[in-house]
Amino acid sequence: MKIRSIELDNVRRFTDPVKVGPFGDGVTLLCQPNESGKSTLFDALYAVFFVKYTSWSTKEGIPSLQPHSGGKVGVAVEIDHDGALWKIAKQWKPGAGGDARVWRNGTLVHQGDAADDWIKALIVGDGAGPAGLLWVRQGRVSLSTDGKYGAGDKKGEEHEHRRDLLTAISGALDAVTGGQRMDMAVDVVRKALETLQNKNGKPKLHGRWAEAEQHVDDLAQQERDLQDKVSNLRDALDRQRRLKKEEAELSAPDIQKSKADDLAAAQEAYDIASRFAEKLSALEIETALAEQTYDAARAGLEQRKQVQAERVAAQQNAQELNTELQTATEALDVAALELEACAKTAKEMDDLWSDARALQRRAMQQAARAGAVERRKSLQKTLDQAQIAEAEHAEASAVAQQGPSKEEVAACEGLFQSLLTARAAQQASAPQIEVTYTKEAPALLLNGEKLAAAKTYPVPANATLDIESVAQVVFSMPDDQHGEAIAQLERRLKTALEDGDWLDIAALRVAAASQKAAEEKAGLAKMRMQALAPEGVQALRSTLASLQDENTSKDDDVPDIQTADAAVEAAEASHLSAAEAKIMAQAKRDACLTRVTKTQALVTAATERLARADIAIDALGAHDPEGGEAELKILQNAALKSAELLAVQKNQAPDLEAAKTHFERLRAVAEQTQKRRADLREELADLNARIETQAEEGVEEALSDIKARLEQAQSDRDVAFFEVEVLRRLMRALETEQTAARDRYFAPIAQELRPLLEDLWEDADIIWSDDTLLPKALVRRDTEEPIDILSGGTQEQIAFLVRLAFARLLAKSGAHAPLILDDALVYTDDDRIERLFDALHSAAPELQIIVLSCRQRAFRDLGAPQVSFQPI
Amino acid sequence: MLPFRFLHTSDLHLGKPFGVFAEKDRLAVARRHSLTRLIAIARKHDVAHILIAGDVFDTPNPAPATWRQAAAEMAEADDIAWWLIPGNHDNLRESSATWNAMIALEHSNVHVLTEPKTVFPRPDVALLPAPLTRRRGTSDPTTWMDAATTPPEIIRIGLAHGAVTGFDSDGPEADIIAPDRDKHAKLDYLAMGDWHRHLKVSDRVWYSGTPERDRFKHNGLGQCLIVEIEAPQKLPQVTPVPAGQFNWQLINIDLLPGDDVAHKIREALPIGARRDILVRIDVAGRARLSDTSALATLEQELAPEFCHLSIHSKDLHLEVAHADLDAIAPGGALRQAGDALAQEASDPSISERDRALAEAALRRLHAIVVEGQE
Repeated sequence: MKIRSIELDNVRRFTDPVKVGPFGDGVTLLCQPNESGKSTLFDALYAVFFVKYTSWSTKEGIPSLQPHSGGKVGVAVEIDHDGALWKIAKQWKPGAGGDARVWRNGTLVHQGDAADDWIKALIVGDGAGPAGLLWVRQGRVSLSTDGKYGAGDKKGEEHEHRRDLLTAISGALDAVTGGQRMDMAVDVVRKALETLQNKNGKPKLHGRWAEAEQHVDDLAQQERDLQDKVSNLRDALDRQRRLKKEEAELSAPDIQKSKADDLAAAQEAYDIASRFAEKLSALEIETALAEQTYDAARAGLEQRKQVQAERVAAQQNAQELNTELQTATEALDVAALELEACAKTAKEMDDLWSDARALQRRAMQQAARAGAVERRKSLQKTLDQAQIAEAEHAEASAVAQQGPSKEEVAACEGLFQSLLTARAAQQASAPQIEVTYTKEAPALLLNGEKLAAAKTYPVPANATLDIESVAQVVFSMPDDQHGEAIAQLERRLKTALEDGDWLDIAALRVAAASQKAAEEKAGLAKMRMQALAPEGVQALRSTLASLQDENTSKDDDVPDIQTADAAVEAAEASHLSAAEAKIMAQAKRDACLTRVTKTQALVTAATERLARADIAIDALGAHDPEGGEAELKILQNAALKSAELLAVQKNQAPDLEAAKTHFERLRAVAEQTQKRRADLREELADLNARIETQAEEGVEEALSDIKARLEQAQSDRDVAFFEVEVLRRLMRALETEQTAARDRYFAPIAQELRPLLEDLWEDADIIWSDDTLLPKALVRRDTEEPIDILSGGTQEQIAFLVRLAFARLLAKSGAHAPLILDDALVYTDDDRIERLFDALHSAAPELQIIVLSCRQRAFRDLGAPQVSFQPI
Repeated sequence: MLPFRFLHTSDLHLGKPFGVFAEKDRLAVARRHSLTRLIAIARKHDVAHILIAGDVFDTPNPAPATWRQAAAEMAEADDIAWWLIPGNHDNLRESSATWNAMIALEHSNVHVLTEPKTVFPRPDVALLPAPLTRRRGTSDPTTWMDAATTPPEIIRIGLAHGAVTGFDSDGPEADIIAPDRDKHAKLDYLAMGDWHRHLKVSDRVWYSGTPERDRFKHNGLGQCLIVEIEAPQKLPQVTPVPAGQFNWQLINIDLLPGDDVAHKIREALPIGARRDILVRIDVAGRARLSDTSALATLEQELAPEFCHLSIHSKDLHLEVAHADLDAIAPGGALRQAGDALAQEASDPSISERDRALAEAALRRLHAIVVEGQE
């Protein structure tokens, strides 16, 4: 199909009929400013091909084509198709009215619904192959819907995608991918699965599968509970049966009688045995008494023998102890004498030691006195020296007192120094005289001093220069201040010297020097005196005097101190030896004393023991040895006879313990039987009540019911799960084949598209969406970029190229689908638009491409014939 | 001597639940009313004795309401003497409490025979009971009858519960009771229970079957036997009499591709009051894709008319024709999916379950695409 012309009648701004055309086989450009009617033309073209002539709905957009003045909207299109020129004309008017007509080479061939059906078959195809139109709308920057359908209207959006892009190929695509049937089948299966399972493939809450699973779980739990109850019931019944059987056995009359007879017999046997045992007990007592009597007699005899032996032993012991006491007393006496002698010797040695010590003290005192004489000599010598120093000090001090005082010396020295200063000043300010003697000239005398040649001399005031043998010259100086000062100083000095009676300053100085020397001498004497007698000479004299009073005589009977020390040492040793001997003697005496004391105590004890033995013998009384032995024999025979009788009786006695045990056991059995019967009755009563309660519930019937229901529920659950698996399998089969079909179908499209893409981007490719059948991502340099995040320009370029590829594919298959571009390249830059123009022209020999644009300057270089709206 | 006429029945299974059936309450009520119907039959045939050969109750310890209602109904029919023995379901060991409780009621016309000891329903009739003491016996409980002595010229009737030898695969499952016990014990008649359909073992040995059926094992209504013994050693006259309310029917249908499935099934349906009929249809053979959907549709249509109706096609194999696949889609992905499933459904190299899944998936696809099923 190729469009040749389009007519608009009463469409928006075109209230008067206009025609656009002719459209050639290749690219045709309608380039007009904005609001000149390009989009109106596009919408009109859409309406004539896709909107029924009877439709006047806002959704289909027809009312928007109507001008403000109202009236019928008319659109007509001339197309080349199947080698004929066709004209399609539609008119819409408010309400259900309108008209559609189709002419073939000027002959009306279809009208009304038939015309619409023919148009639909032309555009959509009827399964025989693709046909129709490809569109790129104004402002379409992406491949997504242009918002014609509301948000969330997924079906509408999908429909829009496909109509926009795939209208022309939908027939072929559906034929391959299953089309609406496939979509419907997938939809049904998906919905069926969604009612059964969640996204994770688990049973969906409240779904049939989940309910079946839950039902099985519930019934299984009920079955377990009931099984427990049934088991309890049956256990209780078993228990009841056993208890009843036991109760019956215990209650059987013959058994009860037998047990009672056994008990009576056992009690009688026990009574007989008890009585025999009492007799036996009396005989045992008699036997024991006889044996006891015999034993007592025998013991009395033995006791008498022991007492007598004890007395003999006590007597012998007393004798031995008395002998020992005598020996000990004698030893004590000897020891006392030895102690006395030792004490005496010790006393003597002690006295000797005291004497030696006294003599030692006297020797020491005598040695001390000898030391005092030496000291007095030394002190005298010191006193002598100290007195000499004292005299020297007095003498020097007197000399020192006679000299000028320090103030006088200082005053005179000060005046003298001032005088010297004044004189030096006078001399410095005085005129100088230097004499050069001629040969044989007389000497000059200045103030009587001969002036040497070539030497400068000051000339004092009133100086007199004598020229020997010639004249005398007197120098006068009217303003001689120095001279006056000098004179004044000289007067003051003289007065001062005179006050001290010193001839001149030198004399003063000599006197001062003498005074100083005397002072120094006095100081030295004082120091020596202080060294010799720190406390004064008088104290020294007193000390010496006191020493002279002591006795310095020497005793002839006093040995020297060394001799005295040796004597003391010897005496001390003797003293110690004697003391030690005394202690030993004393210890010996004490030991003897102790021995005597102990022996005395033993003697006392032996005496008492002897007395006790005598008393015991007396207590036993008189004794006949032969009579006692006979009596003992009689008692022994009586005891033996009684024992023999007892042994005979014991052999004949019944077993009391056995009889008692047997009787008590039977009695316990009887009591236990009674108790057991009572317990059984009680337990049976409880058991009956429990069984009755459980039986009331009919648990076995309920269990039987539950088992059957559980089996059915498990079967239902298996059926539900089987259905899930069936749906999963079916879904997998559908999706697998659908994907494979799409891949097969899109392969040639991708092949067609690839060179177009490479004109813009190197190594670029498109990934298609399985859901929308639209491009999903652009792959560049091995990087996949979702279409949605690409720039507006890139998106519209992809949209443009995809449609161009579809158109080329269709054209190659013999189905020419006009490609209509309504300002499709709004965002594309100049460089890319040039390349897209190249792509258009390269496709132009095979396609009819109608370009609508307001970009006059950009599309000037498209190089395509132009058309415009022309009034009819 | 007057002829001795009695009603022989067994396997009442009172208290049996039917929880898996939608109309379980009606089935339970019918079971409870089986005694009422037996009484009516007895009176109608002028019978004064009803012999129940075991399994009066379904469980060893039925709910008191169950056994008390039964005991009360038996006692109220005081023109009839009831002779009961415990069977395997209500054996003595497990059901002693129930039996003892019934005995304790001391209804004069209700005789619970818990011991292998001869009793006399009539002075000239000896009844030799063989109560079961355990659910599964290890010895023939009727052996004692051989040695049981009775006065001469007296009718000897045995009453027992259990399987006999000599049956084929359709007969009872265990081999306990000697089928010729009548000869060894000189019985005029051996009234047997355990088998739910009436069955003649020999001229003198009969199973009465249950009066109210409870499963699809045997088709038809439950029955009881009216037995008349004219005199000792005379052959008994045995007459089966319908006694049940519900008609249980198991129908097997073989299908072939091209069969009119609906017609074939409708033709096989039993005649009668459908609300009292339970039908299970087991379909086998081979069928087209469209037929399987027809089965499901038919089941939905018919089920409400009956007390129960279910169609089971576990053994029905799918035969996929090109026309079926063409109906799904003549070509394209949808057809490819159909082809893949059809191929998998007949692929012997995969598991049976996977084949079944593929077959079911194909049926579902056909139902969705061709029949518009959702």
